[in-house]
Amino acid sequence: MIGDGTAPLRPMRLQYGVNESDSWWHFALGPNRQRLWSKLRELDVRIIRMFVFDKHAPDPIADWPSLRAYIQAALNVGATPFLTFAKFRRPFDDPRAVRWFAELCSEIVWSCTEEWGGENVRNWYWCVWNEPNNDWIGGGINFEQYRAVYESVARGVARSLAPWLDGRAPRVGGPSVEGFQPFWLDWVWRLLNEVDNSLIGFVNWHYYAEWRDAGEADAVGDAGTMQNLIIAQAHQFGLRATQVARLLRGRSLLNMCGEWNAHSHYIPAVRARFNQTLFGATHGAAALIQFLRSGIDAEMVWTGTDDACGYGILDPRAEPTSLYYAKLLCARHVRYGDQIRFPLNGKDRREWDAVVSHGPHGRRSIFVVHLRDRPGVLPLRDLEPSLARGGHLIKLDASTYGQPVPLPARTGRIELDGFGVAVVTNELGPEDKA
Amino acid sequence: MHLRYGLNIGDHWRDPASGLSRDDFIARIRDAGTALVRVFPGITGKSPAEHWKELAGLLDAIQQSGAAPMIAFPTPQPWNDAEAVRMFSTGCGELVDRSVDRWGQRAVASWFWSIGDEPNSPWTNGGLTFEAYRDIYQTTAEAIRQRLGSAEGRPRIGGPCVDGFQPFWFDWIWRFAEEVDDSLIGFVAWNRYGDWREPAAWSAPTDPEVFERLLLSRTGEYWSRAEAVRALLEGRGILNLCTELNAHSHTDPAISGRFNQGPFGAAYYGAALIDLLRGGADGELLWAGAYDNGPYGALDSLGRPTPTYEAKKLIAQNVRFGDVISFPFDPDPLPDFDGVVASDEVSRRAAVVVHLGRGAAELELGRWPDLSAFSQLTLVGGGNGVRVRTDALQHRLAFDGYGVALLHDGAGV
Repeated sequence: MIGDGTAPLRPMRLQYGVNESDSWWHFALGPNRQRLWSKLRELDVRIIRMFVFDKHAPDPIADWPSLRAYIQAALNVGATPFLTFAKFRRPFDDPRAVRWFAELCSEIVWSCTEEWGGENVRNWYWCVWNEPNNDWIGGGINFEQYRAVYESVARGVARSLAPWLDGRAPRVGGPSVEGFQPFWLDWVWRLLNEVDNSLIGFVNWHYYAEWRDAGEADAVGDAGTMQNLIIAQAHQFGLRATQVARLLRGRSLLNMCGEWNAHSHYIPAVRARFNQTLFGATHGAAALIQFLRSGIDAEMVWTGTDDACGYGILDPRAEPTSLYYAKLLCARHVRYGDQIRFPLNGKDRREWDAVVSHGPHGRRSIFVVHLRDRPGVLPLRDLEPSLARGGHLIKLDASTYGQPVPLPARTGRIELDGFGVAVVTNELGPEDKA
Repeated sequence: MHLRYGLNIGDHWRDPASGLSRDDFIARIRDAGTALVRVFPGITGKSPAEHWKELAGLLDAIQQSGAAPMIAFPTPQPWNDAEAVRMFSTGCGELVDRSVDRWGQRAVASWFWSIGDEPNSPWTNGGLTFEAYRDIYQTTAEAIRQRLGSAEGRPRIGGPCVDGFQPFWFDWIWRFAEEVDDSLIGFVAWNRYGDWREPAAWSAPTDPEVFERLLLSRTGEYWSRAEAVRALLEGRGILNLCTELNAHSHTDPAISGRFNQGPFGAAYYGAALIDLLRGGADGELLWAGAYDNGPYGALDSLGRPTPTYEAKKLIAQNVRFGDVISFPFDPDPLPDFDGVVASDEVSRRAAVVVHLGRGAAELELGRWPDLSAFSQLTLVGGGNGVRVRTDALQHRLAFDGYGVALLHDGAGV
């Protein structure tokens, strides 16, 4: 017997999201932007993380029209903007520099209220800094300096939004910690315990499984072994989400993974092998199930649109990668507000992972990932008995060239050639057949 | 509950001036509910003959306490010298032979044998790679297994006892479990301390209170790491052991002693044990139990118990192997508190509550039904200093600082 068809159901509360960062121009102003937005809408993207000062973002002072288009693009997708204020290049311990930065952030928020209306902008997310615990990315700021910047910026955001908040806290958060650093969770704890909690709306953390190529810096030399090792660490998404949730107990704050993917190697071609292939789709599907299991509030894959950066799920022409399709299958069949459960436990989860979703009007789906690069068969009988008696199978593996293909259902089981993703559902929409 | 309690013997066990009388040593180990005692015999390429008499005496005492020895072999130095590797395996094999000669194969096959001492740490491993470690492990484990005979089940041999501060510590665990001959693995071992930095150094907080609270917040790592390793091993019959734990690993007693050996250390260790239980670990070995004159010992250089020892004893005697356990604060958490309730199949029932705050705090026990029906309280720390005190328990549980409390009814405790 594989699986437990009686595992308890609980509500699905994960907001799907993406980052739109270095390749923002294609997303906001490029010739294929409408197609990109359409593709992201299909993913049920509810939150889009963006940058204001870093990651080649448009200058908010010198080029407000571009920044406006960038934000408008997120709104056109139907998503809530998640604006990251990072970073400034003046001394972090200079109070004047901090004040200047906070005022600048506050003016951007105010400009947004003028452009889009405070009643809308009050629901946006405002994140202070990006990976402050990593000197390369965060610029070498220490926690004490970060705390001063955070509080100053958060107060500025609150001030700009005050007319529309009705006493509610603004949706400001941080610290967007980089997950490779040994004491990454300290930053979350210190934010929660050393900053006035009325200035915190969410906690944001990042995680990639690896940054080294095979054989580099003591990493395993065999490429296949490295893939298996990375897949085995998808569990970390759930463990980290739970660790953050423990720190959030008793606080009404959101728990968000604002950046994730399989690999963050410094050379795009290397990381692309892990992120933009069938392997990346498999890892991503495993991560999504971990997010769903952990009960966190939002995930934002790094990234949506991507012009040769080695991360993105859509290229500038809106052509999807396999990870896009895996995320699509998850978003279509495991929807916000559904009742979900996790039928696999124990050693079976080293080979497979799965989430069962019960939607309105009797919709039943199971989203499955195969975690081994060898042929596998998963019986459905004990996972979701109602689907074992018949359903539609959508499969994404090497045999389908990394794209989802609806197939005649083989009653009662899923077969995958190796790494891959599948859905069995009793409700096949027209979009699934496309 | 399937956690085996254990402790490490510190680095000074050969020092005749240090430690305890033999009888006191045995009593201390037994009283702490100890199932495993990890000993470093010092095999680095030399024959164990040099210290055999002293080592045999130590192993005798450990067995008299009712615990099983865990013999900890490091790795050969230099690791990339074939002759050194051969001598190392020979030395390990000789120690097994001597042990079998003295105590018999059946007894010795019940001991644990660990190979590798933080081989992933660039501070101490001399550039050792996983591939080289794997070869050393397989050669040495095979030599040990041959001498232990064909005991039922897996041989009680394992590794790699990874240094938990290294960013890719899990790589070594995963590769060990996946790449080593499966029949040579009885347990997977990992080490974890809360911190290695002194306050204000290396980006650690400067404020002593923040430093302490942050250090205590990291006991959740015992849960997440135990859980990560458990998921890798589930269904394979391989044990998941935390072979070294304590709050602080700095070698300077002035820095780390107060974190490991005072009421703070008791609270940290109590919380760490609860998280190991929650994560499904099969064993834990405090660094260190005895014969450690530095900042880690649960018994001081004269053999006197620290609050950490008293907390270990209190928990191990009342949350026992085979008990049914639950975590009363999981559904209704409270900052600065954690706990576990344990019961046997008859009538013994007890609860451990750990207070992770330096100030005074009270619990209204009625809020947690699992904690509300006990009549007595035994307290370590929590305002008592080193003393352990038992009182009648009312509806409130009060702490005056860091502490570990046992809630019970007297019988069987």
